[in-house]
Amino acid sequence: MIDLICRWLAATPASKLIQDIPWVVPATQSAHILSISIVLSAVAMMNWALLRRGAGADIAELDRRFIPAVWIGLGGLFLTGLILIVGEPARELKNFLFWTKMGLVVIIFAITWTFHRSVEGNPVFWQHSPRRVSTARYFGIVSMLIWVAIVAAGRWIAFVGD
Amino acid sequence: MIDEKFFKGVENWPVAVLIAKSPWLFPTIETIHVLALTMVVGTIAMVDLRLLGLRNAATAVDELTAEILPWSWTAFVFAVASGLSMFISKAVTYAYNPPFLFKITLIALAGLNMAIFHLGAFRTVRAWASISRPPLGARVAGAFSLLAWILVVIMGRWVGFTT
Repeated sequence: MIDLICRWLAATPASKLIQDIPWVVPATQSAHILSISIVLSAVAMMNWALLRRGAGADIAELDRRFIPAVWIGLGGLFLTGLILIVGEPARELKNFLFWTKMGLVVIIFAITWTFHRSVEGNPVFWQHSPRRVSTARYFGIVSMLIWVAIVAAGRWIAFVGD
Repeated sequence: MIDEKFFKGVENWPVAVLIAKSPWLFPTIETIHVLALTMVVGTIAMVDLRLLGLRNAATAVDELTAEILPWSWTAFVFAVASGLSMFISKAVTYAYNPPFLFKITLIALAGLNMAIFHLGAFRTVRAWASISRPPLGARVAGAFSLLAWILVVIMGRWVGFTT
C-alpha cells in the first residue's frame, strides 16, 4: 500500500519537478529548519516563563506573545514538510521515525490548541487553583520534551532506513 | 590557509576517530546541533524583529534582551561545542568546503555586527528602549543580524549536501 503511494507520488509532475531541480530540497530543508527555529524558541521561552513563575505567570500574556509564532512556525513546517514528502516520498513515508514524528506532531498540536483555547475562553483558567498551576507546568515540560523528540526524530530520519 | 596536514592530524585525534567510527555519535551530535542552532537563530530573531519594530513593540528593548539573550548565548555554546565535534571528525572535508567556510565567515560577521551594535546604538538604549521603532543604527543591526543568521542556516544545510 505504502509502496504504491510512494511510487504514485514520485511519478507526479510536482515530485519530478522537486527531484529535477537540485537546489529545491536543500532550500526547503533550510526553510524547514528556520520554521523549527521560530517554533522551538517561542515554545522554550513560553514554557520557561511558565516553569519559573508558576502561579505568578501571566499565562494569557504568554499566549498572546508566543502562540502566534508557534502557529506561523507550524504553518511553515507543514508547507515545507509537504514539499519534502512529495519530493522524496519513500525517504519519509517508509520510515518509521517519520510516522513517530507525525504522531508526536498530532499530540503537540492537540496540547497547544487545547491550551490556547482554554486561555482564550478564560485568561485566568490556569491560575484557578494550585492544582491547575501544576498541571500547566506539567504540560509545559511535556510539550518541551515532545518538541525535542520531534526535532530528534526528524534529524534521525536521514540516518535510519525503513 | 592552514596546511591540510594540520586537519589530517585533527582527524586522527582519538575523540575525532571515535565520532567518525561510531554509527550513532555523529547523528546524536548533529541532533544536539540542530536543537542548539534553532534556539540560537530563533531567539536572536526575536530580538532582531523587535529592533526592526516589527514585533513585540510593547516590550522594552533592554527588557527583551535581558530576557532572551542568555538563552541565545547558552544555545550558542552548545551549537559551537557540537559543531566542533562534528568538524574534527571530518576536518579535511569541512576545512575546504565552500559553504562551510562561508557559514563560519557569516557567523563572524554576525558577531562583528553585534559588537558594533553594543558599542554603538545599544549604549543609548535607555533613551529608545520603549519606542516601537528604534533608531536607524539599531534597525540596521537587526536587519543585518536576521539576514546573516538565515544565511548561516542555509549554508549549514548546504554543507550536508556538498560533503
